Amino acid sequence: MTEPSVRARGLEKTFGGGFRALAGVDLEVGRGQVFGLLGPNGAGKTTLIKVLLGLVVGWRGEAELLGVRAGNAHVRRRVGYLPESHRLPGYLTGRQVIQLFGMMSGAGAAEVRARAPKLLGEMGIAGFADAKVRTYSKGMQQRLGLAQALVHRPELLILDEPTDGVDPVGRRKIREIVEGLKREGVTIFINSHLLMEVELVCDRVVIMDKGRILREGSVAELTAETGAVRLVLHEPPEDLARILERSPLKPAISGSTLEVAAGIAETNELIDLLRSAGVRIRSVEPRKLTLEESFIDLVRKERA
Amino acid sequence: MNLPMYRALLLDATYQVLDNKMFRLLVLLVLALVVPFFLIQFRETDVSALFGLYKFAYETVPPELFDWGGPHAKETAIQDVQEIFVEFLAGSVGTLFCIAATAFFMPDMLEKGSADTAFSKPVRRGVLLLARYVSGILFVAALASVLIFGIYAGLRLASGHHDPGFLWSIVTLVYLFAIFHAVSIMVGILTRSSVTAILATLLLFVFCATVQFLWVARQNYLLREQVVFARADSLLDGEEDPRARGGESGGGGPMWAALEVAHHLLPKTMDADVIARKLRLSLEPDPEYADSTGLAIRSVPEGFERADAAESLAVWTAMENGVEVARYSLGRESRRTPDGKLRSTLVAARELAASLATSAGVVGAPVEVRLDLGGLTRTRTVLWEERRGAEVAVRARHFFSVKREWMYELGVTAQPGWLDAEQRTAHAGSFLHGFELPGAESSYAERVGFGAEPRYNLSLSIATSLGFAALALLVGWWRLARLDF
Repeated sequence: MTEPSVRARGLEKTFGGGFRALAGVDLEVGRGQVFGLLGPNGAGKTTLIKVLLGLVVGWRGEAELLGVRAGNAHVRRRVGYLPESHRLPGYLTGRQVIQLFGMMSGAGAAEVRARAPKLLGEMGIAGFADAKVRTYSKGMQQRLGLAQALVHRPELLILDEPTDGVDPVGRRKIREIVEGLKREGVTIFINSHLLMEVELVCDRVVIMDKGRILREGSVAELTAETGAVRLVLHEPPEDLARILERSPLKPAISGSTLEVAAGIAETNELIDLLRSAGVRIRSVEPRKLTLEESFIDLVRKERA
Repeated sequence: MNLPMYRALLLDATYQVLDNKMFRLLVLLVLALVVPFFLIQFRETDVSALFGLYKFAYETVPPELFDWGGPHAKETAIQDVQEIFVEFLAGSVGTLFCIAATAFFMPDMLEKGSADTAFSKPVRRGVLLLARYVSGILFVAALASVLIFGIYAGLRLASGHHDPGFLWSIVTLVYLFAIFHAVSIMVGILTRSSVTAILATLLLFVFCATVQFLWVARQNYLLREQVVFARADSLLDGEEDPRARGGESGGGGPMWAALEVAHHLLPKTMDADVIARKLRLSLEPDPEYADSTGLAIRSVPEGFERADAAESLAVWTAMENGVEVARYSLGRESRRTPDGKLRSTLVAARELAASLATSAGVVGAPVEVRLDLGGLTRTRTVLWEERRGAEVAVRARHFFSVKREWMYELGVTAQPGWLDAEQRTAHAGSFLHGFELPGAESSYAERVGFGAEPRYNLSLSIATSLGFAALALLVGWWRLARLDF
């Protein structure tokens, strides 16, 4: 049986001063998944990642990476990590970062030397390969950070705010890279504040707050239908409100959009009413929660 | 063992050092110190700068500044200049600069952002600590190599001075830095602050130097006191062993006890210079003469060659046209008289003078003089002339003691035409000046050695100093293993 890429059971971590960053986290990330970790600031997401990578010590419970107890240096050869707000050595060039960090991760010198130009090219920073990192913009450093996390072909890639400081084109590029890695079977563990991105690339998502997991599921599960329907009208008439007074549903009007909590039969009755009044309908769709709405709703409820 | 990983750590250390602005500045400073050695020529009697444009004779240097008036002025001058550059400039000022220049290595790596990247790699924290430690060592090894090898090459090319033992200074400079760099690394980990690491390390540097300076000064005082007692006693009827009078620690109050403890626990940084000198001596060629008392003669006067010695320890003769014109003969006897007392050189010289005064072949009255051989050692010298057939030979006998138990005599026999009286005394003085005496061991510098008793043992000094550094690294490692990033 293949071990999960990440496994945590009853994971707890309390920092000096008594701050409880992890309060019993249970989590399992299967091989080849793209896994999103969501939560407000201070939820314990980065602490969870750091426990897995051995950057935080003195935790309790169980935590494993690729079937090996977290903190074991050897298993990290199979893991790539892009830290949040990372700082790569300014005295190295981009090429040296790729080569040295690749070798530190256990890859051979010849292999990383051969792989460096391709990676730098993919990240769009090949032209700066021999410039010192301290001359790089934040976005370039972020791309270089991603390249150093990939150079040794990891089985598990942990990305902490991967698009932080990256422009929209760069974000799209990073998304494409993540999708490409997913096709190759690499497990990807993403911690991001940009919920749209998580929604776009992740198979499964966990929402954390106050060191605990509030909800876990697929993106589809977390963005379930709300029971409402949205109708978009084509050039709505001026007396639309008067027409809708005849409907028992009392839909909310926002410009050319109507939103109403209704089942199939009631929706069709509303359509009939509008059509009979000569209103033309552009589209009708069930209203779903966005991941952001689901996240905010969940966190609000938890904090209430 | 993962070779690419260690190679990467080493390369990282090298890149970090080469990129360091302070390192480049120090390289320029070191080159500025080295270049003069290519432009200045140390000659037998003077120093010539800028290819003869500027010259000054050794004898014009005030003796209270540098004692360059002796017969080995060139070597003495070079050695003094080397000591200024290596022991003072590099060993003290340079080490302080290097501590300041490398103190940021560890705190920088522990900064948020850097630490996450570095410590998430499959490298143990202890290995990363050692990698940063090695970075600093590389930093200083590169600078020390440029400085020492540069000075060596400059002296070799410009002055024809070949002293490969001087290259040992690279090792001792790195050794000295390695001790304090370990402390800097430890403080850097404990506080994550470069400024605190610099200040704490500099304070320790000064504290260690002060402790050892005071300890050595006290040892010198106690040792000298013993020798003075011994010398005084040797002129009297007899003497007891001064060491039996209370040992070398000299007792003392709690302050001295604290000094004693601190000296043995702390790194003995001043020993770095002594170690360099001892290592340097180990590379020198075998002396012309050496015996079990520790007396060594490295060179003989020009024109003299070793001859067969039947009744003496060694004989050197100078020949002109196949005829012997001068002879030095070295003899030795125990100072111990049949009744167990020690006979002084003064008594020996006076007895010789008295016997010569009644001797038939002696022309005129023997003359007694003293020659200063440096430190507490002086000769008692008797000069006289002796008729040998039709000729009058010029004779002298220099008495000096070695290690309290032995009295040596350097006899001089010369044809009257071989130098005048003043020159003959100067010639013998010059020869005697080159004798390496084990000394009365009246100072720490004389006592200290790789084979010395524990108190003065250099191997032990190195072991405790490196032990201190290892302890500092161990504390650093212990803390690093418990840090959350």
